[in-house]
Amino acid sequence: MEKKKNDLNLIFFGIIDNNPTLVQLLGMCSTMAVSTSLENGIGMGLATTAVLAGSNVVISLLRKLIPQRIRIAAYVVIIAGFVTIIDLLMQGYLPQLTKELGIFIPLIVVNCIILARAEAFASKNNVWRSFLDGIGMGLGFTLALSAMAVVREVLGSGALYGYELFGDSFEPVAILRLPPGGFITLGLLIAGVQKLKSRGKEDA
Amino acid sequence: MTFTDILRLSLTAVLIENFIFIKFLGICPFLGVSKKVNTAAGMGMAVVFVMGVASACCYAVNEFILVRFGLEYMRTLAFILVIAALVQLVEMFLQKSVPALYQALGIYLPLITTNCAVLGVAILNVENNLNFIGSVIYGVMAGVGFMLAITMFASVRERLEFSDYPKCFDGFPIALITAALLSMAFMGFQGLHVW
Amino acid sequence: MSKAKLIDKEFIRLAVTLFLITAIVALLLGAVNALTKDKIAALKTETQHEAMQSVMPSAHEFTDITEDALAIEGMGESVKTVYETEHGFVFGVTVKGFGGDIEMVVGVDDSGYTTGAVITSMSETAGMGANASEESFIGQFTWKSGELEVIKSGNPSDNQVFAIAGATITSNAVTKGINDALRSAQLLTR
Repeated sequence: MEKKKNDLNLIFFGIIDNNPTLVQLLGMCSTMAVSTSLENGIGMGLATTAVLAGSNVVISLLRKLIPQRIRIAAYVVIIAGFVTIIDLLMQGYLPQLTKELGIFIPLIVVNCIILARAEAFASKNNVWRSFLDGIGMGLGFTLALSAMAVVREVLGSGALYGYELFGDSFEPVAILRLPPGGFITLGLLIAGVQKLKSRGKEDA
Repeated sequence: MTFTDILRLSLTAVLIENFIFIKFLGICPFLGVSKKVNTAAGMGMAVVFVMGVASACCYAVNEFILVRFGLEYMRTLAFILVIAALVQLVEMFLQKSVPALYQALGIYLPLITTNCAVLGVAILNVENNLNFIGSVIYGVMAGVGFMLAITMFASVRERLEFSDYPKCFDGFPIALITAALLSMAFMGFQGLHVW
Repeated sequence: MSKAKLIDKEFIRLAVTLFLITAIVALLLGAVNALTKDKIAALKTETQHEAMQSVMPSAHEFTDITEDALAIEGMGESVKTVYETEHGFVFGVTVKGFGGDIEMVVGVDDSGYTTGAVITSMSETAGMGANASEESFIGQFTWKSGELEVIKSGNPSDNQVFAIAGATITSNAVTKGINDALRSAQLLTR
């Protein structure tokens, strides 16, 4: 029982303490590119979570079979396999979202979060723990993406999840929807996280 | 491909649709290896080189293997393998034949495999239906755009070290804000219409 | 000698392992592809057909004449596909917008008037260029002929349309596509 509880902590570890985007600063490209609306952010986040959990499980299963010297190549092949499967499924069942995310779905392959977790966690831990780690990291990524998307969509388009929030009198801050807005929002968000962390330290 | 086409493609890749500032491709190395102008320029050169060669190789793989045998759905897998193998080969080749260049670029090469700009350019070449020459030019020029962006950014960052800003902005946040300002400047090229 | 052999053996083992992993992944992908292929293809034709029907509601039969049509001298450069119907032509047009390609379907009837236009795919900026697919903009392109022109304010004449606020490039791109379709239709009816 005690051990199980510890394992479940892995999920929260990924979401909060060790958030891949806001703390580890990995996977920046897709974070900024698809966070223009909440729908895109959540779609991208969940697609990445699926790939992350899947590849973590398989790599953990095969961790004793994959020779040390070719491990990175093997990981990349496994990850690319999962990405293609997700890509095909999304094309078949979520065509609209696929169009919006475009090139960033195949580019999940080179999202550094996935390779980093494979190398740092899945190759050293058992299947169950690797799975939880994948879910935690994936949800952490989704959360960071959603936070950015909320800021950019509400202020940049005056809407949330596609629904208009304000009347016509609201003049949206167009720059937030545009590429510079991605950099600004992420910069401010990380600054906020750093502020919170340093305050925690001063208290202790 | 006429000369005008080539010019238009180059201008689009370098300025109008700059990979870093407009398309958000290759942000990780952009933020990671931009503390010093020297290293940034080295990384930039390595990227130009690999993106050019990768565009050529991926074009060939796509045209002669994937399309011919109806395996387009394997594109992501095939391209990432080609790029990984290519980076490895380039590294071995440089080490043996051009040690001086290897000294300069060597440490950046392994990082390039997971640079999404490389895989991105290979996929964009296919999506935009570019021919062989077009793919290579787009690849090289997108790399030049990356080099331009990272060198400019590094020279600003070097000066940031001596500037005053709130402590919580230390590290990535202030770098991101800087990048945002550069990105705004690049938005200005959007209206640029060539012929 | 024995050392060289050892390296060879190790090398072969690595190569075989990597090959096996790749082969298994490739097989799995083949299986998933087989499952989703028809669905994706069906979805594609369905959306295309729907788009064509919506720009020319009166038509029922669409015949692909792309190959012959594109061989004609002077066809609009952005025209990618051409379908013939009982009442005119439906064009698939791809133009360069602000954030990449804009794909549209445009219907032009036998008398050289547009019957409608829809945007099927674009990556324009949400809230600005992306407003091109709103009826207030794209709807302006119904029952037009000749060479169309984008204006920002004033009283539009028959062949003028209003630009989307803050998205001149997108507006011009869409208009260029419509003009190409109109010109191509003229060539085809001639």
